[in-house]
Amino acid sequence: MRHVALVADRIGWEERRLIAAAGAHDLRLSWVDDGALCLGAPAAPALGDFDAVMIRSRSYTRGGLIATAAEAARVPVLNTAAAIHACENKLSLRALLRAADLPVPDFRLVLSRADFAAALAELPLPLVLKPVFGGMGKRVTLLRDADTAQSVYDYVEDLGHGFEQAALVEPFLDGGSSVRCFVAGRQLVASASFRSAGGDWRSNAALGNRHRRVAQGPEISKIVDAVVDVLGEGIYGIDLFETPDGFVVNEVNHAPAFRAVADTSELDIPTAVVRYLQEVTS
Amino acid sequence: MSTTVLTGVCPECETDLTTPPIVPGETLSCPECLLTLRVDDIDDGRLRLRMVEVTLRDWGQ
Ligand SMILES: Nc1ncnc2c1ncn2[C@@H]1O[C@H](COP(=O)(O)OP(=O)(O)OP(=O)(O)O)[C@@H](O)[C@H]1O
Ligand SMILES: [Zn+2]
Repeated sequence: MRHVALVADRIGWEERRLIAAAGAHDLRLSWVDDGALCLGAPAAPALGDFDAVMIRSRSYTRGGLIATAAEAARVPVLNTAAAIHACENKLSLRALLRAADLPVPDFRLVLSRADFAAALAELPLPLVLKPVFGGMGKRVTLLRDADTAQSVYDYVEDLGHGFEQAALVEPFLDGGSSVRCFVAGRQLVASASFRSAGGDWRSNAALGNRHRRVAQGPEISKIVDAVVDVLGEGIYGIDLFETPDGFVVNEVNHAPAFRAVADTSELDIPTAVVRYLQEVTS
Repeated sequence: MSTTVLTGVCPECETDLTTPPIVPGETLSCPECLLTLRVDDIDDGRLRLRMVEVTLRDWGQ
């Protein structure tokens, strides 16, 4: 029986289901602590028992580094180091996607107060300020007024260290539903559209509080396909925003949660992932 | 193994804990200090627990 390492900081809701689905489909999927691999020895003895590695580290830093070390030891890894590195950096990802003619939101890279002032002068309010490296919707800030924007930037300057100060400023795409697409291999397994509800303007899963409906259509499939062409096959959470001119790709997650989209799909997500793992290891 | 209840000690506040069957990698919240603890290992019904972060700046899903 094929044996795949599920490398993660813990077993959460998603990992539990993946392990159960693997058991039901003749694949052994075992949790491996992402903080205890000590990789680097040429043949990666810590991964010697496994036919492949699936990375579910919540941390981009850990995920990208482990994928790099495992690939160097010629162990098949999902997602690839290149894909994780592309996803961890909102600027790199958008540059890659844009180069492939995929629609992404307009943005300005803000590394200083001068950049911030220039971005505010170039793009009309309301705007969104977000860290280049960051996730779970944290520190993503809606700027409605020019006068509060400067004070918000005081906090970036004052409390952000090094890479935490790198930010994007982009138009607030308020038509506002976001679509989360779950991909395994090349297959779009589930997609659902979210709208923020209640006390927070953001609608991402980590922050809770939103309404949900199924989202489908040829435009979504086409974008998802093109994103996979850029990143290579893998397991992704692709976030789209709906705009009057069509969908744009906001970001791609490397170890996507799927609880929120699970019941909008006719396909069983864990089973789809396991089938893909079988394909990769066969 | 016939044990249906596992036992351990919170490494942070030393409270005695019992849990239903659980496997390494799973997490639980210490009822006393509320920290998130991960099961690192289970040896003869005894849990080895470690405090883990609930969110870090470079996390994304
Ligand atoms: N330009 C924007 N216009 C409107 N809403 C936005 C914009 N950027 C972000 N948001 C809202 O904020 C949420 C979090 O933003 P984003 O996904 O970019 O950050 P993140 O930290 O990578 O989140 P996650 O890791 O949960 O996907 C989005 O799901 C969306 O609801
Ligand atoms: Zn405790």
